[in-house]
Amino acid sequence: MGTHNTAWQPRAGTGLPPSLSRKWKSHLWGYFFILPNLLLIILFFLYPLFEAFRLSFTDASIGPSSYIGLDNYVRLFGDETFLRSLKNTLLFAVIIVPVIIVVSFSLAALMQNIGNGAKSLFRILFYVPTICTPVVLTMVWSWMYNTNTGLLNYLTGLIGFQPIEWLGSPSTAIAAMCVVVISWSIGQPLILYLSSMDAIPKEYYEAAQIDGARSFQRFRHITLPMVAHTSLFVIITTTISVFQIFVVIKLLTAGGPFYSTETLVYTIYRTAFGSTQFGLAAAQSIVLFLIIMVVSIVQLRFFKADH
Amino acid sequence: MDVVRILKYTVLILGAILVVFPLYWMITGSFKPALSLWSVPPEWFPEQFTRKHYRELFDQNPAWRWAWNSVFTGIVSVFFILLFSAMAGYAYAKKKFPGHTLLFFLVIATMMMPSQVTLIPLYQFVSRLGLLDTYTGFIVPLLAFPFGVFLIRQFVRYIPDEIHQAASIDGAGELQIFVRMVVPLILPALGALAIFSFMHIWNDFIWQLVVLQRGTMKTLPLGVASLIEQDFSINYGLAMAGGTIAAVPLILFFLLFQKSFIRGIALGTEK
Amino acid sequence: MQRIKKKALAVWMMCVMLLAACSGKEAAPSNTPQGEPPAGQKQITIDYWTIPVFKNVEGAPGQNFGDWEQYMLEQFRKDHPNVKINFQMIPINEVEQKVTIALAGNNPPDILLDGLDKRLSKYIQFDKSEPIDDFLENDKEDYIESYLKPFYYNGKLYGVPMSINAEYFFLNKTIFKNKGLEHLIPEDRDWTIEEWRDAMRQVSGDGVYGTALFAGSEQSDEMNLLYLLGNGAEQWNEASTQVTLDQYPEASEMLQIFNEMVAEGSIATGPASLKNTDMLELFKQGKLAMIPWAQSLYGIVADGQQDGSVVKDLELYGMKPVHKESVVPQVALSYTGYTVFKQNDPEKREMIKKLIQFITTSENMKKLGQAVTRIPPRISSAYVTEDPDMAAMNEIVTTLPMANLGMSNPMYSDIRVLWYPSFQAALLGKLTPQQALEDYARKANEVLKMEQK
Repeated sequence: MGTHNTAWQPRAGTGLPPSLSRKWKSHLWGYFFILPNLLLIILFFLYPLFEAFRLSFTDASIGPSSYIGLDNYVRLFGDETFLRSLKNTLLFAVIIVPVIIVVSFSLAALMQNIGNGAKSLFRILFYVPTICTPVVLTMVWSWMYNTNTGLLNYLTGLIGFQPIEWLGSPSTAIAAMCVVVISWSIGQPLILYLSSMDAIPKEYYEAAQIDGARSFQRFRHITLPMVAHTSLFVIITTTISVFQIFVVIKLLTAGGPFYSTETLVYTIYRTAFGSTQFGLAAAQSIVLFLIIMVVSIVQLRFFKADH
Repeated sequence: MDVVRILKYTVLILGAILVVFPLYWMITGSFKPALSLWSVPPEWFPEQFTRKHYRELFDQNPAWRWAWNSVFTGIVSVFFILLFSAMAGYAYAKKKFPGHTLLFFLVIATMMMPSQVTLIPLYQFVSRLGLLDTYTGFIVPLLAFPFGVFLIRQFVRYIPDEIHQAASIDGAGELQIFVRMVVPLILPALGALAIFSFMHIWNDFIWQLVVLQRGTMKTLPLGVASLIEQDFSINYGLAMAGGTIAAVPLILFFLLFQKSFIRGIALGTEK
Repeated sequence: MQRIKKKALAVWMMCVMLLAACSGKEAAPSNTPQGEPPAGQKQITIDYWTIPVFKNVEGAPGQNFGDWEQYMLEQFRKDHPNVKINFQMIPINEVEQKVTIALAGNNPPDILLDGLDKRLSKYIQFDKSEPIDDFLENDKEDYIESYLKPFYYNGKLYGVPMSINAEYFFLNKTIFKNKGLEHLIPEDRDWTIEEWRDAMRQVSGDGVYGTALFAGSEQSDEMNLLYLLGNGAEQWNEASTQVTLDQYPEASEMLQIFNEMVAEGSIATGPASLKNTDMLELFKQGKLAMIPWAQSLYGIVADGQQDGSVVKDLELYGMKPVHKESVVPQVALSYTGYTVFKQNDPEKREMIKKLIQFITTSENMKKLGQAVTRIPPRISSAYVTEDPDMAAMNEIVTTLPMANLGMSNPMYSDIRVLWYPSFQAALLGKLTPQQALEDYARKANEVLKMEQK
C-alpha cells in the first residue's frame, strides 16, 4: 500500500524565495488548513470552557457575583443530590453501554448472509429512530409505560397480569429508561459493525474452514478481533452520549421515582435553571467533563492494551 | 439450516418492531383524532383517518417557515462544516507541522465536552456580539464540529503518500492537491459527515431554544415543541404531526446519502 | 456522478449563502410593520415576551395563542410609528429557563407576560425588575386589592395582573349520572373528606376511577397539597420563611388516606409516576370522576368537545376543595401578569408604560377573561359568564381564603422541586407518610436556611 506517514510537502523549485525551506512552506500550509476550524474551536469551545471554569469559582447567579474559591467543588463532595446523580449516571452507563454493544454486534452478526435487500431494509429500520426528535418519541414511550392506559399493561393484561407501575418503582423505572435509550441507540453501532464485518476478507474464513475450524471458532478468532477497533470506537462514543442523556429523563420520569433516575446532566440543568446557581452548575459541569475524559482515557488504554 | 434461518429472521423482525414501533405509533397517531390516540384497547391502525392535525400545524402556524429555517440552517452549516473539517482533517493527517499532535488532541478533547458546560458562556458571548436571534449567531458556533475533523483525519490517513508525490511532480500546488486530489478521495467520508452534522444541528434543541427567539426564526423541532405544551393540556395529535414532520426531512436526507454514509463510516473508523 | 452531485450542491449552496447574507442583514420580518420614524422622534425598540395563555379572544384576527396580543401590539404601533416591538412567545415549560438565561446574559426582555405568582419573587430577588407603581396611577382603585397584593415587594409594585386562574376541584357529572349516583353530588358544592372518600369509592369501577393523584413531576405540588391543606395542615409558616408541613399530623393522615384509597381502587393506580398532564388526559377521556384543576378547565373542556380531544358527554361541576369538617377550604390562585425589567432610558420606559396601559384596559381584560374562562383582576372587567357552573364557582371563590403555597418566597422554585420525590416515597411505601413529610421539610428548610444567610 505504500507509505502513509511521510509528511506531504511541496516539491523543490516551485519558484519561491530560497530562504523559505521546503519544510516550513509545508508547515505554513498546514497551519492555513487547520486555521478556520481551530479558530472556531478556540472561540466557541475553549473560550466558553474557560469562562465556565472561571464561573465555577464564583457564586454566580443572576446579578453580581463574587469569587468563592473552591467552595463550589468542596460542596459537591458532600452534596447528597450530586453524589446520587453521579451514581445513577454511572449505573446507566454500566448497564446501557455493554447492552448496546452486545445487541448491535449480535444483530450485525445475524445480518451476515442474508440478502442485500433485506440487509438494507433492516439497517434502515434500526437506524431511523436515531434521527427522530427525542421529544415526541419519549411521548410515545411515556404512553406505552402508562399504568392505566398504556400499551404494555394492555398487553400484559391480555395474558392475565395485573397492571404494573412501570415507572413507579426505581428498579423498573431504571430498566424502562434503559430500554428507551437502547432502542434508539443501536442504529449507529449496528451500521458500524456491519461495515467492518463486511470489510473482513472472505479468504480468511475460507482459509480457516479449510484448516478445519468450526463456525464458532471462526467467529471467535477472525470476526471478533477484526471488529475490535470498531468496538472501541462504539464504546467510547456511546459512553459519552450516555453520560449526557437528558431529554428522556426530563420527560419520562423527571428524575424519579424518588431520585432514582436523576442523572448528572439533569442535576446541572436544575441547578442552573431551577435554582439559578450558575457558579455551582458550572462546577458540576466541569466535574462531569473531567469524569467523561477520565473514563474515555481509561477505556482507550484498557482496550488498546488488549491487542 | 432452515431452522436457524427462521430463528435469525424472527429475532431480526422482533428487534426491528420494538425499535420502530414508537415511530410507527407517532406517524399513525398523527392521523388519528385526538381521543383515539391513547384509547384502550389501542388502535393499531387509524380507524378514523384525519388530516386535521396537519392542517392545524400548517394553517395556524408558520410551520413551513420553521421547516425552511431548519433546512436552510442545516445546509449552510453542513457546507461549512464539511469544508473546514476536510481542510483540518487533511492537515492533521498529512502535514506534520510543529504542534500537530497537541492541537489534534485538543480537537479530540472538545469532542468530550458536554454541551451544558459551554451553554451559558456561549449564549452570553453571542449576545454580546449582538447576534442573538440571527442566522449568523445561530450557525457560526455550530461550525466547530470536532467530530468532523476526527472522521476526515482517519480517512485521509489511508491515502497513500505516493499519490501526493506524483501530483507535486506534475507541478500541482498545495491548494490544487487538496481540491483536485484529496477531496474526491474522501467523498464517502464527506457524505457520512454531511449526515452526522446535519442531524446534529437539526436536533440540537437547547441551542435553538436559547438563541432563536421570534416565531419566524424558529426551527422545526423548536416550533413543534412550542405547540405541544400549552397550559398543561397537551395537544397530542399536533405533537405527533409535528414529530412526523420533523423526522421526514432527516429520513429523506439519510436515504439520499446512505451509500456514501455507510462507506464513509466503514473506512473512517478504522484505526 | 458523485462529482457532479458535489459540484451542483456547491453551486446551489453558494447561491443560498448569498441569499442568506442579504436576508440575514434585514433579519426575518418582525411582527410590526417597518417604517421610518417620523422626523425628530427617536426609534424605540421594545422586546415583548409572552407565554401561550390567551386564545380565542374576541376581536382578534386569529384564534391562536398570541394572535390577540400581536394584534394589540400592531394597533399600538400604528399610533406610535417610532416604536418597534419584537414579539416572542415561549412555551410554558421553557419560559423559566429562557428568562433565566437572558437575565444571566444581561439581555432580558423589556416586557414579560408570565405566571408571575411562581416566578416574580425570583426575578425581583436579583434586582432586575423595574418598579411600576406609576403604571397604575389612574386605575389602581379598579383593581381588586387582594389580586394586586402579591405583586408588591417592599412597598413597590412590580407587576400588573392580567388574569387570575383559581384552582379548585371538578366533577364529571355525567359519570355520576350514568351510574345512578347523582344524589352524591352536593348542591352546595361542598364535601367533607369522609363524604368525598365515600363518593369516590362508590363511583369507581368499570374502567373509571374516582380521581387520580400525580407525583410524577415537579408540577405535583399545588393541587395535591390542597387535600392536605383541606385536612387542616399548613405547608408554610405565616411569614413564608419555613416549611411546616411535617408538624401537622393532619398531613400524614391525609397521605395515609391516599394510600388506602389507591389500594381500594378509588384512586387511579400508579400515582407515583403519573404526571398532571396524564391526569388531565384521563379526565378528558372520561375515566376520572373528579380532578383538581384550574378554572381554565371550563375553556379546555368546551374547546375540546369541539375539536374532539374531550369526550362529548362530559359535564363539569365545580367543587370546593375537600376538607375536614372543621376546616375552611382554601383555593389556590395562579396569576398571569406583566412584569417589566430594569429600564435605563426614561423615554423607553414611558413608551412601555403607555403600551401596558394600552393593553390592560378594563374592556380588554373582560375579553381576555371571557376567552379563557379566567377571572379578570379589575372590578369593572367582571363579566357575566354564560356558563352557570362557572358563574357559581366564581362567586364561591371570592369567599374562600387563599392557600399559602409559599410563592412569595424567592426560593419557591427550588423548594417546589423537593416535594415530588418525597410524595413518591410515601406513595410507593418507601417511607411512611410521616417520614416522607419530614424528609421533605428537612430538605426544604435546609435550602431556605442557606439562602437566608
